[in-house]
Amino acid sequence: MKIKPRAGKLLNKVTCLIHVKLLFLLSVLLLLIVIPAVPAFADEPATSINIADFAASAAIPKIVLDQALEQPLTINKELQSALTVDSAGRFLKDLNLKLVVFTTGDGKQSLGLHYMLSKDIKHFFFTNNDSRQTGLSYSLDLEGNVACEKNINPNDFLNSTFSVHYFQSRGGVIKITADFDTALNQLEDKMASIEDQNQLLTSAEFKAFATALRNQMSDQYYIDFSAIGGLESNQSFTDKQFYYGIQLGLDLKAWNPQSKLAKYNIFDWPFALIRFLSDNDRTFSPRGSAIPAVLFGLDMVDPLTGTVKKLHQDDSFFTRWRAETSFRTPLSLRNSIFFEASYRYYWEPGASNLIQQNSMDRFGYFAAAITMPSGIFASYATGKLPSDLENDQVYELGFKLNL
Amino acid sequence: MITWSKNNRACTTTWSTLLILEQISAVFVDSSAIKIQDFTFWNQAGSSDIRRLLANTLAVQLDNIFTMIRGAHYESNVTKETATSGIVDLLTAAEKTVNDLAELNDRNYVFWAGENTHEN
Repeated sequence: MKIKPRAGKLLNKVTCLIHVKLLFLLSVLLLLIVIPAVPAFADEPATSINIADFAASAAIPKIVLDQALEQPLTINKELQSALTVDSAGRFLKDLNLKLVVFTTGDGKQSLGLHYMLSKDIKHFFFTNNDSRQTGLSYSLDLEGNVACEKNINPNDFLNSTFSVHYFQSRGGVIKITADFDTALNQLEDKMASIEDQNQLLTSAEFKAFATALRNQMSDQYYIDFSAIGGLESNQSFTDKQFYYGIQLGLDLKAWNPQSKLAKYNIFDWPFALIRFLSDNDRTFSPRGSAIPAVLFGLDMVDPLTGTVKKLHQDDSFFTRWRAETSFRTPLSLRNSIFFEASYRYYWEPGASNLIQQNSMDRFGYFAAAITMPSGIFASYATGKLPSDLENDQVYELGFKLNL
Repeated sequence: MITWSKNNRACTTTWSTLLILEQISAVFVDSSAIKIQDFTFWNQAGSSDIRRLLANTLAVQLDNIFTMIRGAHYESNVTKETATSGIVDLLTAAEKTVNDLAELNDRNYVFWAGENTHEN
């Protein structure tokens, strides 16, 4: 894509400033995880970090931001180029950055960034017998939304986590005893030569390959029990809380479409009906690969600053239960159109009257979206997450760039 | 980055496995640039914790299929731990592609080439 000279200068300026700010943000987040809570963070607001202040300062003039707001697609392309392995920013190769436009219900818009870094540091297997594995792993996860105008950030929630996982996986595959590796390779070669999607999916080679492979697939049960520590905050770090706790994750997948578990995936029945009626599936076929995953957690939370700290007065820690479920299924797999939904719930049992009166003991957050490969998707979110003090129902438009 | 080619068993097996697991639906020639965030399992609305859980499930299944059905074994100096950990890392990176996954698999696995041989 050709970039006009004026837009090119603007992009260089914004891209450079964004790199600097994000490196600073990530450094601060990592420091806040590993350094114990100290009185320095309890003094506010002088020591708090306000990302939006960078925008309000001479570093990024408002006129630049307004111009950038009109060109998010182009700026996104610049960002992705900067993060490629061959570029100077390759040390950030595991960091995912996406430019987004936040929109409130009254039509106010703000440019912002969604960042995500998810790193599996180490894996150990204790047992590995056929399709039964047990082991340990360590991981680091950073994610959040930063808006240039902090008051227009409907998903004002930054989360940084380090965790140790004990996991078990059972099933998924039945080890073959017959020697048909060569036959599978031959079918695969023929499939790879087909360049029309409909032709591929109706070909005799694909049907034979799919039947052979799926007959060797079974239901997979994956359990993950982990100990975690992390930091939650809003983007200006005026509200932040450190937490540690335990978490249990359950994921069940029925990889063989003929599995009873697949047929009884009632969450996918409405979408299986849509696929059948829209001729995307020849039969009513609920997806066993779309069984929702669930997470349960019990955290000890130490609010360091902000409203949550004030509400808990002298308490240094409070208990918080949380639960999350995630669901995603194709509306049209051939056209890569998906429906996805997620619900998160947080609850502080035994909260004081003050906290309950301020509606800070329970949080529910629901988000759903229809995603398409064209670079435009629609999403809906309602409720609130910890550190976000206002219930808000907003539409977020996320721009995906086809590179 | 490896060249996306029908002559590279890592490319074709990565693609066909993702096809059968219904993570993608495109033909081979159109699949290399598909991003992880466009895989069926990727839920942008969910937290990173739950995406990691889903990525781990899928990574274990991919490794199981490669080694227990497709006849692949690990390259020297590669273990099940490093192979699986690498796949999990890649599956949690939204902007990575099928080509990136195939390249990783090409480094970590020696795929069956037929006639009692394996392809490097």
